[in-house]
Amino acid sequence: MGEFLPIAVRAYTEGSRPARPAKTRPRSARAVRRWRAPERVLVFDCESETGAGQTLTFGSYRYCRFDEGSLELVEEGLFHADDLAVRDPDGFAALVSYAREKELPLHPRRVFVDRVLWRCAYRARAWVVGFNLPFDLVRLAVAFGEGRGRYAGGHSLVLWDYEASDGRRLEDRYRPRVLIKSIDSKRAFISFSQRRDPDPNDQIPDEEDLRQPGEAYCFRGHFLDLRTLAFALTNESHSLDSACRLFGVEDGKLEAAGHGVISDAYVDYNRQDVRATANLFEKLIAEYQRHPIALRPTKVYSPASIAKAYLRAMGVAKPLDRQPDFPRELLGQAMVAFYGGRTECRIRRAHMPVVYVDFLSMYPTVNTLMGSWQLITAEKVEPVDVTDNVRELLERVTLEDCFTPGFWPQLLTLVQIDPVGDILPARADYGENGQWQIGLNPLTTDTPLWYSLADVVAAKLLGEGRTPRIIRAIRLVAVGEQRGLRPVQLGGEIVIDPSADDFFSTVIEQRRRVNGRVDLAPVQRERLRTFLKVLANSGCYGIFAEINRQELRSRRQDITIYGLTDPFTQRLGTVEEPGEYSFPPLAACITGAARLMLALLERLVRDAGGSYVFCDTDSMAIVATPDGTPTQDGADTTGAPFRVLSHSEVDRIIDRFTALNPYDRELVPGSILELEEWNFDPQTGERRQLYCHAVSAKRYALYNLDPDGTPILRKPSEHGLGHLMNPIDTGFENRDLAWQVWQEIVEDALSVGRARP
Amino acid sequence: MSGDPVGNDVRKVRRARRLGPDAVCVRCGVRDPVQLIRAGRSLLEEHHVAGYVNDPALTVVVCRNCHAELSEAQRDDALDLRFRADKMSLERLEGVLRGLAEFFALLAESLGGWADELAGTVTRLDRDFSGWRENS
Repeated sequence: MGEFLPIAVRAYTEGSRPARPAKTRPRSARAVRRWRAPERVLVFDCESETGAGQTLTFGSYRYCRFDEGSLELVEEGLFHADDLAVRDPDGFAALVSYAREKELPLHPRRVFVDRVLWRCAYRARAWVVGFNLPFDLVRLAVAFGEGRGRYAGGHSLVLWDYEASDGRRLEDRYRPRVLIKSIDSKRAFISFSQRRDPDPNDQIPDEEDLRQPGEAYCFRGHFLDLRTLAFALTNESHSLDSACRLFGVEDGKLEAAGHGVISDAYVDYNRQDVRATANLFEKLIAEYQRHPIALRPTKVYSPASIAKAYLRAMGVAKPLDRQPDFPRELLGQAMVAFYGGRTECRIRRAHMPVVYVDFLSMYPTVNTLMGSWQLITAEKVEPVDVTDNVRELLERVTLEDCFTPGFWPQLLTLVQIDPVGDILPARADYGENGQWQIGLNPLTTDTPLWYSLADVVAAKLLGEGRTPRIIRAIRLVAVGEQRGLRPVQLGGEIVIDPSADDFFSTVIEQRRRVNGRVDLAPVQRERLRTFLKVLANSGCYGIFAEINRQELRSRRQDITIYGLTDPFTQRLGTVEEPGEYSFPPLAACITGAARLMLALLERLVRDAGGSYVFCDTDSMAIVATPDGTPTQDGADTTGAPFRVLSHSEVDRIIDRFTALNPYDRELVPGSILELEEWNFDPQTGERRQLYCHAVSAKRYALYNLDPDGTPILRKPSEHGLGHLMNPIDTGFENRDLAWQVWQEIVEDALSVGRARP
Repeated sequence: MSGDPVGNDVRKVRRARRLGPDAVCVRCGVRDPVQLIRAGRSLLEEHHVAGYVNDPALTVVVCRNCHAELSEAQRDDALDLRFRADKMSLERLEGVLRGLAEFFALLAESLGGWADELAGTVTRLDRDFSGWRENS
């Protein structure tokens, strides 16, 4: 003790002028609805060399009319790299022969972008559709530059060029560039840049009732990456193959006939990929159109985009638009109090028997318990000083109180405390490696800090009953109800009235109710269940915490920073803009409440004399064997010896959480803490022993052992592997990198001998 | 088979964009974008029913062919389409009434044609599908 460790807190920032004025204006739903959806679709797919450069070899396209939900082919064709005849004469010859035999047009890349891409994507404003579209667009580029403005950190691709009089090829400035900025592996912003001298037809806006060219209008393209749309609809990362199977595309992806060598089979494979992509487009658009939301599919980047569109459809006002005078100081204090989900590894690098439990829809559950929906639909949110009330509450609060649903609504409160050895989240460079991570530790600071009340209650429960010193407490009180709230049909099937229903509990309950709906086909039930799960998870927390970093670059401006201290101003080149439904006080309380839920679980495990290997936001791997027999000696990261619970002791802990079930018990019976599926044998339904090997927070594997002691992986975490390019050759059947890495780690830990490939 | 299906289709899309959805001539009902187009000029045009000088706001959207016929009829009917600084509102009102009368007369003629066509259809139905009255 006595060590000094710097900690960091977040802040709320506000520029002296909006970084993106257009986005700060309230958008009218009507303006979005008026958008005229394209009636043409260009689908294409590129094949590339297998080397690191992944240079274009050839590709194929389908240009179609899109009418009444189905595609009608206008032209199908092939294209190839401009230099393919020189680089790969045999491949080129095979391609020419194939095109002749199948009577398909075959264009060099240069002609393809000019005759097909330019005319279809820009002149006819077709959807440009692909699966992992940025990859294919980059294959077509002849040069690139750095993105600017919204695309800072991304690239601008040159697709169109011309031959100058001296024979050099120069960029055609009368054609746009294609701008791409990746958000992550599943999502990217893609658009056309401005171009010189557009003709009047190209300046007619997309809105249905606007006919006249607008001089300021710039057509940005309708780029639709189906990988992104599939992710937004399912919250799962998909390959073309898995997306086709999930959405019922009958004419799906073929097995690759061998990448790299151009042959008839390889061209067949590529053409089938394009057909499958086109078929998937029909299915995904049909699925998307079930949602009564006014959002272009090309603007959907995640499930949160859909959740926000639903809030708009229900007429829920954006919190900071609704209350533009909400105290900035309190927003700053809420950002100080804001931490993400709690993740922690207590027992490292040990083969531990566990029972793996998780909470039923953690964030919707704590929202329902706290009554957050009233705050979201309130006419205004009033910050009320409740310092005395909270001091009294903290003096007397017990573990039992926290298992009373009526306790939770008062947790919509932020408190300023003077931490003295209290167990609280703190953001610090624990490893002294420049990485700021969040840990839950005994914390003493010179400066008072802001936390959610839930965090402070958790500190008392985990900290031997010591009551943290409260300086100030501010409760968020809902006043009145917004005007203009209106019912919507979730997924086109379930009516929800934002005035009468709690959005969060309704979504969870309706998800259970779907199981018994005989009016829906099994595939529709599954689709609706998936959608409700995605909506529940995406609409209950992240959108209230959304903060977007904007690079101002040369447009540096004075930024006011609200947070730990009095506000101050600094001239900066970046600003953090709140997202559409961002409301930091609510976000801080939601994640704080989730951490309290986990703290309750930790306390029950500890009180029962148990240990846990890790916890991760809404789940915990509790060390347990069927009869509580220890399997080994050792100590966790706090120095406490391993302690083992029996399965029945874990079951009793699970039962305690039945009291906090806020849902209709007929639809959602029992406890909100559940045994995960991996604890059971899928064949017999009987409980089986699960094991866990964890190396750090969020990096763990759950597995069983077969009779000869070889681990059978059930759930390997992928955290920490996402930045790596998969080194496993595409020809191997199992290319799941996380699976293979964890299999090696666990087998090494267990010293299981196995021949390495 | 067309030599350039993409080019042909793109041309139609761009023409439709300029016309907008549900483009139709109010007088003759022509919807075919090909018939509505005229290179270098606007595609559907606004006809000033009473002449621009008499009432610039009183317009209807018509195709190029109908616009030509309607304008010719205004001239035949001696509607004063010239701008005069001393033109009084009473004179403009006269122009409005005359223009409307001419327009309604042409519209009546057009509607009469539609009615005749409808009557012919009913006659043919009675002759060829005698049971159609019971089924409708």
